[in-house]
Amino acid sequence: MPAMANFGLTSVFLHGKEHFVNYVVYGMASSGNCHKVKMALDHLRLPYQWRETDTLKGETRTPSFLAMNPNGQVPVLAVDEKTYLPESGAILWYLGEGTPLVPEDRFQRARVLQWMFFEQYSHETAIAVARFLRAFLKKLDDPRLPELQKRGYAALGVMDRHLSDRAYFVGDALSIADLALFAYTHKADEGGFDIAPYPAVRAWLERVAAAPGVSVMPSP
Amino acid sequence: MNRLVQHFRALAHANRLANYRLHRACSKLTHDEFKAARTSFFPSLWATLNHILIVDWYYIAALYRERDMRRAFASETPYDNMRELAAAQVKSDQRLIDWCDSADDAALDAQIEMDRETFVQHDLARHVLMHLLTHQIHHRGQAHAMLAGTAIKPPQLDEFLMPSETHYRVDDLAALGWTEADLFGQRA
Repeated sequence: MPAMANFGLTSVFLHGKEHFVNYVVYGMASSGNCHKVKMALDHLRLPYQWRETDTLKGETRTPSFLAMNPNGQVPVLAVDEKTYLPESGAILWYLGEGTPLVPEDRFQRARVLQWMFFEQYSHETAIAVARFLRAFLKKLDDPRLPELQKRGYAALGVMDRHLSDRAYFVGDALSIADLALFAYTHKADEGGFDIAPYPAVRAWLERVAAAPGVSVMPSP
Repeated sequence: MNRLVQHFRALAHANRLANYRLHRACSKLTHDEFKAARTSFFPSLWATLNHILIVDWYYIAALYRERDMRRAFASETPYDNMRELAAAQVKSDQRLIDWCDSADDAALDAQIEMDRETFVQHDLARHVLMHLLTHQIHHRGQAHAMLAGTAIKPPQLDEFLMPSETHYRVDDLAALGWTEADLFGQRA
């Protein structure tokens, strides 16, 4: 029997394991900002590699990670071997450009950005942070939670009023603004939020959830 | 019926037919001949046929969305003898046929997650199928070449799958319990 040295598991992937295949995403599956990128790639049926990166274990603070994103955060989209794009909103825009996920009309494009900036400034900073404190750090009595609850419910109220007479955030079709807002809204319960009083948001969540590639984000 | 779905059904059946022919021939070898060192990427018929099987296990588990797909690689040579290996290959081939039989356009266009240990690879099911089926043809060819170095005549794996050449496979289809319509994925 010859030596089995060249018989390792790597041989299974001889034709692709370390080969650079299209996009590579550095992300944490239970992070909403990362889940947005996953949903956009899945919706657009793009091939990609997902490299799970645990922010709680310092994996975004290593020299090699900081070389990709000096800000030390996931997600990062590797477009090729030396081109890295951090920031979920920028990644969504890059992936969505030229597809039905980003409108062509100049004003509608600005509307998409309007809701994405709303998400990052008024929504994510309350709902995602409350979820992080409760579900990741298990700090159920953190002193910041009451203020975060107040701001999170305000954001949900803004969304509910906007959605009361429309199916999607911009125009009449799914856009990256919907994917951006879906990520933390569909897991708002993990931040201690009750969305029962927001019927338009609930109907919109069901509508977006039914779109191809849209998936439920894993809990921490 | 969608033509791409039908095409993959036919290829899944062709995969079973080819494994059936190859395993029937290899079953005539002695255990020592089966495991003997030969020249190929996986340097024996034993190692090569085991490799085909575990790679089937891995990708078919991914298609069925089983999270523990890497269990397929627990051993590179899970079976020591041809009889057990052939029985396991029959089961695996049938799972692939079943997947293709129940697939529709949406299933072929769905993203499949493949756990590569350090990352998760995402590709469409139809691309995974194409990769898997081609991979197996590649390694069966190696087994065929190694078989040529034994007293057993290598089986026909390179042709006889044209619809007009039914006469070449009458006995095989009877043994597999298939009709020509089954082979070409045309069953209602």
